[in-house]
Amino acid sequence: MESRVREFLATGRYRKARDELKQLCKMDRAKYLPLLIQANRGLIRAMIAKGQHSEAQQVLAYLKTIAPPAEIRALELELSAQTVQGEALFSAVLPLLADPRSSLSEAEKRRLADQVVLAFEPFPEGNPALTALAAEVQVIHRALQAVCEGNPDHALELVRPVPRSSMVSHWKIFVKGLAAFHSSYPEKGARLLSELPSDSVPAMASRPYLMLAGQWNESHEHGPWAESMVHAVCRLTGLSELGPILTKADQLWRNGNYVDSYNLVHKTVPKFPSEDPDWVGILSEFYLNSAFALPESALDEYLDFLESKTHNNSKNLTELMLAQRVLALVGRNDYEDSSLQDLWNGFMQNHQKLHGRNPKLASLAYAWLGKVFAEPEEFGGYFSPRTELRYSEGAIDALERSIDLDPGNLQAHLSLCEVYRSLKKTRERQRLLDRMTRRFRDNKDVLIQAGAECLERQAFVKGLDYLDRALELDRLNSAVANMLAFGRLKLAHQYFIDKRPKRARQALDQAWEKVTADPANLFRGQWCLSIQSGLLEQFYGDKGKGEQWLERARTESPSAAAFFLFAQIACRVCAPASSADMPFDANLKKALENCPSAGEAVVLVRIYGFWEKAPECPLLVLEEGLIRKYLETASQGVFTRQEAITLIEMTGPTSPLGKDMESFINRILSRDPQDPRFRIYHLLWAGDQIASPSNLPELESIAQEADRRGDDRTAQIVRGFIGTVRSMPPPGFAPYSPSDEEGPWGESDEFEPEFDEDEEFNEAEFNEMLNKLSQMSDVELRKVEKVVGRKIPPHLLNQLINAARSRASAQCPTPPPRAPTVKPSRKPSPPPPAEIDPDQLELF
Amino acid sequence: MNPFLVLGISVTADDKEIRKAYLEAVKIASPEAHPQRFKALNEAYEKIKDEPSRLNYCLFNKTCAGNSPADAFLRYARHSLKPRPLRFEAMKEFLRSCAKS
Repeated sequence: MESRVREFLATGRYRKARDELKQLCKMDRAKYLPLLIQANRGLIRAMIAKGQHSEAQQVLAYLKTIAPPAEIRALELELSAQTVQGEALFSAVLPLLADPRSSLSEAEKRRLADQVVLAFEPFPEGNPALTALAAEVQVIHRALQAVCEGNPDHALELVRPVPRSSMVSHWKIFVKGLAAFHSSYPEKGARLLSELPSDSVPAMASRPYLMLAGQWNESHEHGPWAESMVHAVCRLTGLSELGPILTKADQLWRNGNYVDSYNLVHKTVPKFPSEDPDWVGILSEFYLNSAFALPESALDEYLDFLESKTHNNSKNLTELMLAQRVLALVGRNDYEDSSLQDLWNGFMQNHQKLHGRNPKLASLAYAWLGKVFAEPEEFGGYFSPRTELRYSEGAIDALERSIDLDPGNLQAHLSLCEVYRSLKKTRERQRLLDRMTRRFRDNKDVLIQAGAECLERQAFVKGLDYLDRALELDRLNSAVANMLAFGRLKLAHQYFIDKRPKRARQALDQAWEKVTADPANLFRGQWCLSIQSGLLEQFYGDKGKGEQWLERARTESPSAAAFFLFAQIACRVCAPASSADMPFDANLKKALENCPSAGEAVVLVRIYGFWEKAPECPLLVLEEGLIRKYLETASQGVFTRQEAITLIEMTGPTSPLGKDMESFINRILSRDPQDPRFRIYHLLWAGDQIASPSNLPELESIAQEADRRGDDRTAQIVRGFIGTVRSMPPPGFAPYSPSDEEGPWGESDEFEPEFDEDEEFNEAEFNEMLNKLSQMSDVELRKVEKVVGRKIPPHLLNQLINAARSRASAQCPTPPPRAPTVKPSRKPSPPPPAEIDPDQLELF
Repeated sequence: MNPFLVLGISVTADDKEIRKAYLEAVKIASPEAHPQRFKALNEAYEKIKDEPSRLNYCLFNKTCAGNSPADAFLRYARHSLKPRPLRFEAMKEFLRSCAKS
């Protein structure tokens, strides 16, 4: 009971403390009487603060029966100061304050002095003992009046004679602080005001001034203190009527009644919401932009409320416009494409009605919409993620509109360019890039894109010119230097074919200007440039010179195997069409047989990958076989964990080279069965869907092990898989499908490809093609895309290729999930990739 | 905080007016004497210093001025309101209300 009593006293619950102390006193009066007196004193002070003077008198009467008179004298006076005015107050209080032998504490004296000052009454004359104090109080009154009348200097003059030892010296500091505050010295004012004794009335009155001077104590943000602050600030800033509204709205907001809070302000503040930079504007910004910060649990209701504003609000155009903006930005991932488009168009129209036409703003707005529609939606495996644009037609429309509205909008151009690239709309991209190079002559990104595109379509001179200009703008950009070296080699090749050796050698010399000492750079490392220069000379120019180049390359290359592999593939790329020679084949095979190692394998896989991605690269079936054999042997030798990780990450489970990674994984796991990264690889290579509920215990165990070892990267990967599993619908959940709407006799079970009537394919042909394609490697598929692309309608070809890839990677995991969406319910959730037949997903 | 408020300018102010307001404000709030105010001024200026920035702010501003309506108002008041002295009678009333609280 005692500890509870002490807690009551500490938290200001004096009545409860008093009741329990009465019982405790019956048990041990000597011990608990001081506490009982303390509780009663606290209760009286609380009652005085609430204006319950008669109740306080009753408690005081009781207190007189248990406390010594000296102990309650100050309290008695304090209470009488509330009820007694004028002379009676002064005659009671002033003698005590003036008496240096008084038993009152400094705090009690200060409180009484505050009462005297706040009485704002004229003093009785005649008692010389009281004259000095009375004069000081009157000086404080006059000084306060001077500050209020806009004479801060006069106020300072008035309070100067008040000594530091005076009972009202804290009021002098208050006056000085106010005077400084109103004389454009808020910092000085704040410094003075913050020196006041914290339990005094001037200290209380200083708080709003301190807040306005930037001395706002964040720890006082909540609770009744903040409420009184709001009232005080409103009063000081001439907005007294706002105080009660704001405190009520604040209370509602803090209790989670967000909509009620909004409605209260909406009803009581006539201009709300507003875009003006004033207090109404700031409240409007708060209420609208809170949608970006509310917890997810409260967001749905709040967004629904804002949405209702867009449905039935035609009177307040500002509110409608602001709500549309917020809804579109918050719900960009959750709204259906058409709804998002409508919202954003509505926002733009209303903005125009309110602020007039602004093409630049509209351009920026449509560029945003285009970018949102062009966001890739990713699915596929960890090693072979595939993407499709969210709404490509919408993206193109919006971005073209954006460019029309403001032809200087570079971001819109770049985004549209990216959309065309993703959709493989080569001609449109070319035309756009040409326009861009005219409009943005000195923009590095534009020049790089235009240069790369020109190289792709073999417009070498133009492309190299763009890239040269890009490098001028960014001399340290190694990617541009790589492209330049590559392009110049291609140009030299072209000149040699055209029998213009002089020009070809000039191009080669220019390629050599970009040479780097780094042998790992396969674009412009010395040995790589030497090989390509040598081969070009051998095939088209001076054979002797070519030999010299190759000899030089052999000595500069990191290893014989690397040299012969690079040279073999380069030879196949640049040899004349009539040549079927493979001059490096025998040496390559011999070099690969010589002590295979994982370190060397990393270099070989990198070379293979470099060429495999190069345009016009032939199918590397032969080289692939050789490297696979090499990897198989290397996996039996000595290798480090990091070498194994590098190889595994470069290949992936579904690529032809990836098939040989299993032995690396097993070797590492035989050494360290708990290795978290290799346990993930093991699951991936096992061929089952990794992100499946049955794997959850193993995934969680891997995550724990990764945490224990401090392997952050692995922990991040595995948590991505865990997130995917957890976001899957429970068993038996039937994802929405348009065929569901066909009724109970719908043919949703049937697999019916919906071909365009104009196409000359039937289902059997389609499936046959699909089977063939799904058995091809990625390289072969890319080749098919290049070769067959012109014969089959692009959308059909894309479907075929995608379907084939899906079939091949059907057993791959889904990628780690994206961040949770703000409001998933706004758009019917697409069925999770892991639960879907990839064929159907891709085709229909 | 709303950059127009921090700099004390209208939403229709152009580049010149904004720069002028910014320079005048940082002259008073030097980084040594008022580091926080100086930082706020810089941030505000960066947000609206030229037309593209202003358009971007207009379209995509997501900042929320506080944790609650009162908090937002108090922050606004701190940044933007310069109170006039209360009338003497209002001051008396204000001080008495402080005694009660």
